[in-house]
Amino acid sequence: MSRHGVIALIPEDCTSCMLCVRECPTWCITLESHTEQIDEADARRPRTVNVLDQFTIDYGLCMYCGICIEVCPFDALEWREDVDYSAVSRMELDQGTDTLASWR
Amino acid sequence: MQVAPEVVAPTDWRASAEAMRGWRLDLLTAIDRRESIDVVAHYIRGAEHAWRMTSVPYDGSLASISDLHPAAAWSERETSEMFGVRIGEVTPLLRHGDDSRPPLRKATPLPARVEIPWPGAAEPGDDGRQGANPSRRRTRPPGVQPEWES
Amino acid sequence: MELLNLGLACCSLEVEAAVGSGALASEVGTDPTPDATVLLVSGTVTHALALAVIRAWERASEQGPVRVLAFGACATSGGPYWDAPSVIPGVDALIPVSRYVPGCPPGPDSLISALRHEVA
Repeated sequence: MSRHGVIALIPEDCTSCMLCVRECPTWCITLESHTEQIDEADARRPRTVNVLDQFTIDYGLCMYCGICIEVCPFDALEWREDVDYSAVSRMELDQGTDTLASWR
Repeated sequence: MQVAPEVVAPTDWRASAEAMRGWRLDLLTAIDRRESIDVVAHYIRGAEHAWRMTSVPYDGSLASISDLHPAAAWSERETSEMFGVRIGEVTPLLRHGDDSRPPLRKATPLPARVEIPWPGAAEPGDDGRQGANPSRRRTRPPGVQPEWES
Repeated sequence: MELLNLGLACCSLEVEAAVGSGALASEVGTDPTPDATVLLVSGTVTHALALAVIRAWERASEQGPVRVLAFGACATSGGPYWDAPSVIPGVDALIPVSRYVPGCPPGPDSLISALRHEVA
């Protein structure tokens, strides 16, 4: 039986590009990140990278359209059809990086 | 199968509906083109699809085709209410005593999408501070129209 | 368990699927003296229906404690329609909710799991 399950995150593949956040029709994704400078031995200046601090999907709002999965250039989001859950509060439905990553 | 809509003048709208006798009217709705509103009818006969479209000015009127295609009755009322056009004799359907602007026009703002901060306004790496980098062109949330913010 | 469904929109089709498949009957049972009453809100809650939702909960509560299950994104938060002027963004603005089931729509098996948690 096909069902939508949940959307899981592979945090190490996320570059904080914000594309999923911007394309989400219900605005249910929030992403916090900061930049870091990486020194490289043979480079003239440090490389700037984005570091993901927190990736959150509010499953109370999520309509499971999958646009975030389609738009991610790094395939950092994926369907997990075998996961489903319910919660006793709306706060619990706001799932952060650790939970989203645990579902992959 | 997608077929290009056949565009007719508003004065020919009833004639085009009459020519589609024997077809089933599947839906009648509208598209806000900003300068005018396009009313669209979708007809089906077996595996065939046909689209008819006509252009009506804002707050303009269009003849009803519900005597030719009874399925149009509900759709015409809904389209009239949602887009602010008058198709036939308009009787309230979903909006009763509501004199705010027609909900489905692009110019009608959706306050929630303006007042609530858009998570997508943050730039990558800016610690969640919204719009921290002034040199970047601000993108708008999908569907939010420029005139809502004024 | 006695199950009352306020089928407000598409989510109630999933409730019907759970009923039709027999899965709900085997879960809920047919005891004529139920020891728990669950009110399912399945679908978008609009201002037009707000009073009816409250009255349904009040009437059900006259018989004993009622647990409300917000089934689907609309009943939880307004879902994709959270921004619409005619929509109440979550049934918990009107009545107390015991459990929220995310989904758009959640499938019949999500309903069964949620009910199992609720009566466990």
